[in-house]
Amino acid sequence: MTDIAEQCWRAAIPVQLRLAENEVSSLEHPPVLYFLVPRQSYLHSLVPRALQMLEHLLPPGDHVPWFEHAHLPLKWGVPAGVLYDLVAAPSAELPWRLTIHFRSYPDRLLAAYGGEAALRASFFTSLKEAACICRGSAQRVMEMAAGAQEDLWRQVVSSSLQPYSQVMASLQLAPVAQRGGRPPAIPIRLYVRQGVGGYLSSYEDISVTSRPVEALAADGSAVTLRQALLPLLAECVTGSRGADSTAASLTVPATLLAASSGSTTLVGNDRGSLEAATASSDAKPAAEPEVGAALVEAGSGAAESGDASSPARDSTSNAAGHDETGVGGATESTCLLEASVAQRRLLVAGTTPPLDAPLAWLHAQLHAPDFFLYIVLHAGR
Amino acid sequence: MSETPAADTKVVIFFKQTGDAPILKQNKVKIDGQERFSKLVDFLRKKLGRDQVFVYLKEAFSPALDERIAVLHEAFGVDGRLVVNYALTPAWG
Repeated sequence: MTDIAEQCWRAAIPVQLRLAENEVSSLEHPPVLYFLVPRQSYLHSLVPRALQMLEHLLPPGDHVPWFEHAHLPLKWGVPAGVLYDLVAAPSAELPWRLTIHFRSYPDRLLAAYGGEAALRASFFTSLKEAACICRGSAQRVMEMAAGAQEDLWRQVVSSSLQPYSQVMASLQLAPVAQRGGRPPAIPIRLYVRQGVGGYLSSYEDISVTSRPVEALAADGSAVTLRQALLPLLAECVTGSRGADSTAASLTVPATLLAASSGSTTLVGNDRGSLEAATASSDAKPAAEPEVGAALVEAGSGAAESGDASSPARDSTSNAAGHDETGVGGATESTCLLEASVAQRRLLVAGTTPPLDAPLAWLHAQLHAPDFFLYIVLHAGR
Repeated sequence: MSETPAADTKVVIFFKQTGDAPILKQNKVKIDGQERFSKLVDFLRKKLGRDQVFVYLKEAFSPALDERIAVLHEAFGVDGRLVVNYALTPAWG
């Protein structure tokens, strides 16, 4: 535990909370509430306290809480600090002015919210993903006693670093070299927002990806933030400039989404349905023993109309760590990256680290409670 | 490890049931790596005739639905294929 991690966990965002006007069923004017939400916690940790002060104003019925910032419903599974960096940091809005709703859940935009249990499940699935990236297996997290899991969750919600670090130390998740001599991998979650200024009106301008990034280059030197971001950025930028409009991204764990019924609406409607085609044009019998395998072809609706952009994307997606950056995207990405640092539009835990900072070090200091290093980049100009 | 040649962006998916979920007759598919993970979930939902399917990787966690399959394959694939676990009730909570 370091001073930096401590500061990171102590950091909190002042939030101004108003109850949605159309949900007031009382003559009494609803109070404007003020809270400090720890950056490492979740907005929904405010719900019990807010409800206590607002419940008497609400119409009878079930309360399904959600938050809205300038007409954008906020995703409940993302840590509060990351959400702030994503939607409010460029305008440095303080306090963070949010509307709290308890009715009319926007289930087309957000994954169904099953109460704190859902939030907890989303945290643990994310932690397990990070564990798989760092150690190749989530065994240690899954073997935690129910009581220990509950304790860990309480420490995350209340943003208590000391007991949290003790549990995490016992889980031994720190990235290590993987089987087959692969270098340690850092779990990162990158949000790239196209367009700066103004308010976000939907998630269509945001692309997000979670993945391992190797912490050591081929020559044994530490991979820097710059080296980690360049190939990813090239991919994001090419991806979103092409025909691929599904960059509209919802980081919703599959389980939670699958649990909501009309869930296809949540994930880009423009994808054709899966078709198990019998077409054999792509079959390579020699290379792939396809016993009983079907070729799953993209439905015609999903055919990429932006074929021109895909070669660039392909070449970069293979460069999981570094070196090979798409030829076209490289210079553009470099400029973009340098500019966003200069203008403080690259945010990790609310700060703009130097691009030369080793990725592994950043992760050790600034990772979110789910052990992912969240990076927010405002890529517009 | 799994270096997908740029020419072939298809990824091999191996479906593995858990709990009381039925075993799929067709448990291996190839899919374009640029597709999102949600496509596999939809596929399973259709094959199993269920609205609710719980889908996991590494017998542990559920990835983001909009992640590209190629990314997941690269990160969590073993021996050139991505094993996708499915269940009708939550497993590995």
